[in-house]
Amino acid sequence: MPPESARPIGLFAVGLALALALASTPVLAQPAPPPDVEPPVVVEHVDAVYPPSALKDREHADVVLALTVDVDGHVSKVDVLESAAPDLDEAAIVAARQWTFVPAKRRGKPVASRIRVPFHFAPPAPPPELVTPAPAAETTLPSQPAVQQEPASAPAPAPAPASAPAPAAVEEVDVFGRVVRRKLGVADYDVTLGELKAVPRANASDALKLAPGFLLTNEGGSGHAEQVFLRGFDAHEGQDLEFSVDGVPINDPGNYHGNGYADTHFIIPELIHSVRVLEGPYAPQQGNFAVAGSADYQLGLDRRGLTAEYTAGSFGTQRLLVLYGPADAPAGTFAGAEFYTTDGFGVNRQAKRGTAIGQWETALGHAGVLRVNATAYATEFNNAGVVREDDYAAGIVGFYGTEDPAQTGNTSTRASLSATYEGHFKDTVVSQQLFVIDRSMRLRENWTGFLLDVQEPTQEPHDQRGDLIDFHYDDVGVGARGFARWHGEALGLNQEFEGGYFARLDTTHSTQYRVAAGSNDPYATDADYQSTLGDIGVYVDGNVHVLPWLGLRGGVRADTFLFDVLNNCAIQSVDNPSESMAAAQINQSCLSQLENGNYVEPILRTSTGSAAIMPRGTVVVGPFDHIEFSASAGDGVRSVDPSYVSQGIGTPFVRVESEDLGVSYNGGVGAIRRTLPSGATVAMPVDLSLKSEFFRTHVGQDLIFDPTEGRNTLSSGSSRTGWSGAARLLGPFFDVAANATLVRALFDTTGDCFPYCGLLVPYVPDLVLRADGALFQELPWPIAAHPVRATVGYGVSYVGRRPLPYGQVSDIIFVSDASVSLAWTIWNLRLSGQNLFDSKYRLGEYNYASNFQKYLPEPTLAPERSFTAGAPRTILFTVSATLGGGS
Amino acid sequence: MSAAMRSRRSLAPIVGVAAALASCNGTTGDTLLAFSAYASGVAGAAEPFRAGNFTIQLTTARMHVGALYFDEAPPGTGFDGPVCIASGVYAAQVPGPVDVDLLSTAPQEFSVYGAGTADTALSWQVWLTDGDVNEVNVTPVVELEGTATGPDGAVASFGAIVTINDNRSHGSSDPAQPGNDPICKSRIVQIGGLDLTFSPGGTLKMTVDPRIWFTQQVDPIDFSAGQLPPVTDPNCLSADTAVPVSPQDYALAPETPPPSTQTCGGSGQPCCSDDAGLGTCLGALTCNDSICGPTFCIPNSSFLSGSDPGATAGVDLFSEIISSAPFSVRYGAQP
Repeated sequence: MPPESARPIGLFAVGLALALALASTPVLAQPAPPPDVEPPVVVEHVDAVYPPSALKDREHADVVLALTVDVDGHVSKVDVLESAAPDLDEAAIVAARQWTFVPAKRRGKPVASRIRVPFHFAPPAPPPELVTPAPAAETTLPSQPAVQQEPASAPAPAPAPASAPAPAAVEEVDVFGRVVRRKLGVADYDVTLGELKAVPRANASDALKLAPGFLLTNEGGSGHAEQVFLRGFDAHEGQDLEFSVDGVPINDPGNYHGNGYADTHFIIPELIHSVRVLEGPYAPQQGNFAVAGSADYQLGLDRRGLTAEYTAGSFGTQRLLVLYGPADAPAGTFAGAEFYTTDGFGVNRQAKRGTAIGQWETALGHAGVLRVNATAYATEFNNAGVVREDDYAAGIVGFYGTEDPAQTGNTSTRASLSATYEGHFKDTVVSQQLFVIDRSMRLRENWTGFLLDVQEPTQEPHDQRGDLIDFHYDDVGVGARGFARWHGEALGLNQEFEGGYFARLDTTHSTQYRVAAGSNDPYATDADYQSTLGDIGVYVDGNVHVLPWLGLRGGVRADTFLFDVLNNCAIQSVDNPSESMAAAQINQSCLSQLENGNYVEPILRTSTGSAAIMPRGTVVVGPFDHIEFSASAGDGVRSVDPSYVSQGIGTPFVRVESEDLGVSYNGGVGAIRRTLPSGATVAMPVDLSLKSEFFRTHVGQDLIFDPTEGRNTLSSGSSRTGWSGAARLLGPFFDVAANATLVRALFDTTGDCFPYCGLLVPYVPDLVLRADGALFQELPWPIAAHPVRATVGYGVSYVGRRPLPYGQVSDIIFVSDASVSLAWTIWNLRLSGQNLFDSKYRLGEYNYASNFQKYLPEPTLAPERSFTAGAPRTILFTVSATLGGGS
Repeated sequence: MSAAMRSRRSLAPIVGVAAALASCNGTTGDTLLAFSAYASGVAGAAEPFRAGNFTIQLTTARMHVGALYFDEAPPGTGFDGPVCIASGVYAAQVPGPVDVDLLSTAPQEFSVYGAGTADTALSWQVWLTDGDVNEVNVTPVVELEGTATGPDGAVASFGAIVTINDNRSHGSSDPAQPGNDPICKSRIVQIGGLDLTFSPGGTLKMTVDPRIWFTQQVDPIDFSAGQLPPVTDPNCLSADTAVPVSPQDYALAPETPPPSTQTCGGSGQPCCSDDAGLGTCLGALTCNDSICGPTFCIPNSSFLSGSDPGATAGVDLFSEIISSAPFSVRYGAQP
């Protein structure tokens, strides 16, 4: 057996140290607003109410808040910069959260901003009683800049009886909004979690369900990457979906278990601010693996201050979470650390993990922002694997049981360090990111039991020793991405052009052994690949306005892929061995002979490189207010895994073509009148977004799950046609989102399609429905004069019957999750339940041959049904406290 | 095998769902199916038949079939191919045993349902094993008893207990191919020339003709006096050291019980007492330790010395048992 490759071991430790160190980094002074920034403008404001608890002192006081205004104009975060008293602070916060703005703009483009708002509290005129204002008195504030050069001393606008806010008096704007890609039509989903964080989510991948068409399954345990299904794609463990976190790639290149395997469990869900999902390869910025689309997690900590959270609940689950975001630092500066352990909901489902993420965001130069992120993650988990349906029916293996309890000791680690600079220079925005990633994973899975270890003539006589796979992957990758975006005017309209690049080099090592049951001794080598992989992409992207209501967005991307692969186990069998050499190599997996005993080293090095040119574009038509039509088309690629690389192969990638046609609506649908505790009535807007799109995609060579290899292997081309729709309704006390996807995925009928010609692509659901809702309201029963805020979250998923191999279909999945939480002063209590109705459902279902010899002495060799169990009802109770956050 | 172990599945849901999917939304191809599986003898097996110079009347012929497997590929012939389990795709299986009376044409159901896909099998395997195909098996795969009438009218009773352990295979002698002749290879009958398409709602029936074990031999067994050892001979009792037997083990009670009036003298029954107080048995049976049974055995070994009585008979009988000729299978409507 070839020796393990040398591998840097220090990066993980460095990443962990940096993640922790960044948590304590002081925030630097903020710069003046860049000259090209338009500050946010108040659309509606709500006066603060002089709190009854302060009436007895009848003092004047000032509270200064820092509001973070999202790109949609809502207040996403409130920080107390100058405190008066807890009750006054709270009153100011409650009011400020209800303000809405026209968002700040940089060169006409909405960006998130941070503004400073002082509130002046004056006792009501006729003390000590509050005066009820005139019925239905409605506070309105004309649109006005919330930023002025000098502090205003404006008195409290009438009729606010108990407060004297100075909403126009803001001294500075600190704009730390990320430079974001322009929206690319209907298939582009920028999913802000917002109040929908109230819906229980098991992990970061669950946030994807807010975009239409996602189904997540997991057969490999809680540390195993979710299998992602999206719009007719079985995107597997990420192979068909480009994952990134603030631009840093997540997909594993050269991972033999799944090229592009994407483990997102290192992302602490509470640190997800939003997820940008582009369903389809329509943006030139999208790179390798963007076949079904891409998902970029954008991190941020809305809850400022120091938060400590402890969760305990079903199945011995415990979680300790510490979050830290200095109140006077931008949302991009934060740290989070998590410890998690669970016994799991059945046999072999134990898991434990630790994660630390630290990010520091600061101004750099006159108009630049620098973000440094360090992440460290490690998990160890067991894996229940599949259960044969007949074993379950016979009562031999429980629904939450396992066929092979040896699927233990799985691990996954990730350490990464990235630095991102974004700068604004006159008419050009530049961005530059550097990253280094260290990844490893070990996975022990048994899909087929005792089936594959058949007696070979050149082996000593043996029984089936078991098909337990012991897979290991190491990767060290360095890379960079950057762009320059020019803004200008032509035809009397704003125009944008962007040029950018992506570069990544990885050295990877994948090994897969077969391990004997009982002894745990490896007895065979399936794969041993050491690879150097390169991906250099360059693109140009335009955002051209032909008419005020007609935009052309898109460009072209070219990627160069390099593969240099050393196969350490290249010769595994020969038809005509020589007696002398065969005798020396009995039982060995990696042979040093060819036909008739010709000597050869057991290795094979192959290398190749090739380029893919991918045009991508979107036409956006918006002749009517709030309504936008778009048509998108683009090509994408997925590189092949090193096992498919042969010397000089022409195209070491698979190409996908995709088209979308859709319409969206974004606008208000009226307002809801709310009566504030002060008695004032305000009209609070209700925003609605709707999307409908039809799509078609074709991938030149699809992947299909092969249980005998325990991974996905190449099959034939396939096409998908379908429709998806999404809606989100956001009001002053509710946030509701729903989406639906209908799709039909078929293998090609022409070309090299045998044996799949014209058949349905298995495992892909034809119908996926998802709804999330949150209700949040301050209760009318304050405790000790402090308001109590209640939040209820509910999510429901419906997945239609999925076609399975051999003409079968799966069961449907219908699962509900819910939570209720109460927030009071620094405290937050939360009770959540996943799979609320304890549905006993099969998360994954398969038809293939396996032999676990549970009750029949003779093996089972023909295909039969197996499944992986979905989690039963899980109840978790969480208590958290936030200190120093101001909100 | 107990009833609880019989993995019975309803055919209707599988067929119905598959049909609905195919008609409305396409299909992933193929169909999973389950079927009942039966085994039996053939007509005429219980009748006298000629084998060489002898007329043979089988009074008992039982076979223990461990499992059946149907492969979509023809039997492999490559050097590097797996030895026992084919590397191809198996279309169907009956992964449980049946003890079948080969003198009866009545369908005798396997202990488990068959399962598979709606595909065409081009070869099949009969697993003559009880338990792990690579471990020591103690259950005989064949038990025989009968009589052979020679040209001179002499009648000899014989029995055979066939097991497959070290008595049938000593493994490979080729150091370059140590795994080329494992015991599983001796227990699995590989049969090609099949073209059997499985479909939902069908029934599998396998038949085994025990007469062929005698009639197909190039040199039919010589039942003449002295050619076969008596059942008390060590070569009849301990040829398979893993499964030693006694003379009484050869005395097989027939599947069809004798009349109630016959309480002695038949095979497996106590010996009758004659006037001299000696044990006597009916026909050509012999009294051994007070139990009537066959007089001679066909030795249960492929490795006896050529000078040992019945050495060739033991080899030849086993060769025919594990040959494809006695086996046939069909798939169709209910038996």
